[in-house]
Formats: sequence, C-alpha cells, structure tokens
Amino acid sequence: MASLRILCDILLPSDTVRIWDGSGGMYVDDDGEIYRAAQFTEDALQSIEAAINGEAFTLSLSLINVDTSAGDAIWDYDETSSISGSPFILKLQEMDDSEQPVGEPEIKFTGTIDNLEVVDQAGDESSTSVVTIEVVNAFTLRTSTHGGVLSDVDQKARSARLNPGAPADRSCERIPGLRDKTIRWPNW
Amino acid sequence: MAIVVWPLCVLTPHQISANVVPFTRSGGRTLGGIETATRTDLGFWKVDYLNVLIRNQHRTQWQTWQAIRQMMGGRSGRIAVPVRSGMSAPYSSGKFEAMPETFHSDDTSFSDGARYAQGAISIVSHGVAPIGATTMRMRIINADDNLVGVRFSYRYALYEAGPVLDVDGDIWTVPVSPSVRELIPDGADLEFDRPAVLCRLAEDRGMDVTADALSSNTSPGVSFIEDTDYWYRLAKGLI
Repeated sequence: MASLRILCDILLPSDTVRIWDGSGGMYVDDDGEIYRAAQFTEDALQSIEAAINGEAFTLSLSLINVDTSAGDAIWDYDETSSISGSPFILKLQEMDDSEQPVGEPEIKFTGTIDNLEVVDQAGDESSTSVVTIEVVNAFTLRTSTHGGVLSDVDQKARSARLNPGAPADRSCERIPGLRDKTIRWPNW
Repeated sequence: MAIVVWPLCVLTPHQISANVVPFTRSGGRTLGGIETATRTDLGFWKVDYLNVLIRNQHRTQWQTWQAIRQMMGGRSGRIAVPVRSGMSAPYSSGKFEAMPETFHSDDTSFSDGARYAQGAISIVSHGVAPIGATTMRMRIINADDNLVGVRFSYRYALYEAGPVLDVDGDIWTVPVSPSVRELIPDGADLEFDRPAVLCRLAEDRGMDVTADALSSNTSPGVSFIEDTDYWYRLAKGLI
C-alpha cells in the first residue's frame, strides 16, 4: 500500500506555489508547508517521469485544480512581470502504509520556468482554464542551437568584461564594413 | 463566512448516496487481465441526493430550492450537505435516538422558539489530528462501544472510519478516510448524530428543476462533490 507523492515547488518572486499530485486533501511537509492537491494531466505525468529519469531537458506541466489565488498569481506574473527564471523544484516523497511521509523528500528535478501558458477552453457544459508551465534546466542549452552572430559591439563589450584593463578587442572591427560589402568584378 | 446546511426536512431526498471516491493509479492492464493499482491519496467525498421530492402545493419547497440554487451559483458555491448516518451511528441504545432538545435552565427558549439541541452520541477526539492525518484516536463518552465503520464530521469535514486499529479502554484508534482536512484539536466534540460534508455542485446546471403540472410534484436529483478548495484556503488563511 506504500505509495509515492510528487511534490512541486514553484518559487514565484513573491509567493511560492506548492502542489502535489493528489485528489483532494492537502499534504503538509515537515516544515509545515502546505501543498495543494492539483492533479497533473496525463501528459504532464509522462513528462514528469521523463524529467525524473533524466531523459528530458524540458518539462511541460499542465495543472488542473490549481486554486484561484495561485491561478491569479500566475496570471498576474504572466501579464505584468516576467516569471521566467523562477526556480522550479520537483520532489518525490515516500509514504508508508498509512499514507504518512517517510524521511525527507528526494529532489528529482530542478529547473527554471521558461514560459507560462494560460489556456481557456469552452466545453458543452462548462469552461476550463488550464495553466501550463514550461520548465527548462541547464541541459536545455545542449539541445538549442546558438543563434548569435559576431558583431563589433558584442566583441568589444565581451572583451571589456573579460579583461577590463586591456584595450578593446578589435578583431571584429571590420565586420560592419564588410557585412554588406559588394565586390564587383573590375570592368576595364 | 456563514455556511448554509441543506435543509433536509424541507427538501428530503428519497435516497442519499454519500461515498468516498478512492484515488488509485495503475500502470494499465496486462494481456492476462491483471492490473495492479496503487492508492496515492485517500480520495474525496461525492454525495448524490436522488429524487428530492418537491410538491407543487408546497411553496416553501420551491422557494427553498430556488434560493439554494441562487446561492450556489453553479459549481462555485458551497453548502454543507448532511449525510444519513443513522444506520451506522453508534447509538448507545443500539437503535436510532433522536437529538434531545432542551430548554434553558430557566425554562426559556431562544427568541424564535428554538431550543438547545444535544446530540445523542457524545464522542470526543483524543489527541490532536493534524491536517493530512489518516488515523484518529477517539474517546467514547456516551455511545455504543463499537466505532468500526462509523461516520462523523468535524466542522463539516466528513470522515469515515475503517477497521479498528487499537482499543485501549474507551479510547479507540481508527483509520479515517479521507485524510484529515482541518486540524482536529484534542477533546473536540465530533458530530456523529448529523454529520455533514461541505460540498459544491458537481455540475453548473446540477440544480435544474422541471415543474410538472400533471403529476403536481417533481423529484429532481442533485450531485455534490466535496469542496476541497475550501479546506486548502482555510489552511492557508485565505478565508
């Protein structure tokens, strides 16, 4: 009968949203922090599993049954200020036969929030609002291609930061002049 | 915030079905047909009132129904829904006992004529049951000496006891479902006579009612789901 509980901490700038994968009751950890039961969608459970196993660098989490205040907070951050970069922690807590925690929760995945999506859907009987959190960790950079280009300004700024005392790096100085340069075949 | 209790004497359902919805997960079924399910939570309550009788000639029934519907406002409102527990309640006499109503010591009643009510069953909690607890210790003051499978509520959070774990004199230790919603302090009076559970409507249009001119009565049904959001907000201090 022993089971596992999936705990999520979303550390927003002024508030922390704590949720766990349950049906109704709250979960209170050893520090007295209250976790709200918010069921993840089936897709979310799969991506959590992939994240826990270290197979995924990004984690897309759709939450059902977040409370209105958490939803408001997320919406507020989404609309007014940037929420990206907020830490996200995924933990596993082992439970004993009478559904009480055993030991400390184990941290399985940490990352930062990359994007938030709030989707409203209208159905026949009711309308639903789903919050999807996209989380990335350091290894995400491996999978993304670098879109940077060399420029004189960047290079000088970089050299000024890396080696403040030295004169500016002039290696890219001629790039702006050469970027749109057309070389014509001489017409004698 | 005031919590309205469903007026069971005005709007009486023929059948009440109050059950804990279990919460299990499984990895699916094998080809051989075997499925292993793991319980990850103790679930939540679902209460169905079937065939609530409303007679056309009883204006109060229609008015009460519509007033409750207005108050609920779809799935967002909350109401305390009594569940029938008389069949399993541990009455000390072994059969149903009404809640005795008494006057004040100088034989006066409240200004509206109401009297004091005293539950026939008196059981108090023994020790503190924190949020999320799954076992409870209870001390019997005036009740039958058998607390297996009883139902009780504390401040409209309804619990169902399982098989007994330990009996120590008049102190019984029982597992409860669902997990404790709100901290139950030591020595708190537990409601065994008329337990109720705080619910919201299962559907936005769950209280639709059809007026029937021919049979001059109608018996709509209404489904409720436990309002777990309330307990979370209460614990977080948002209410």
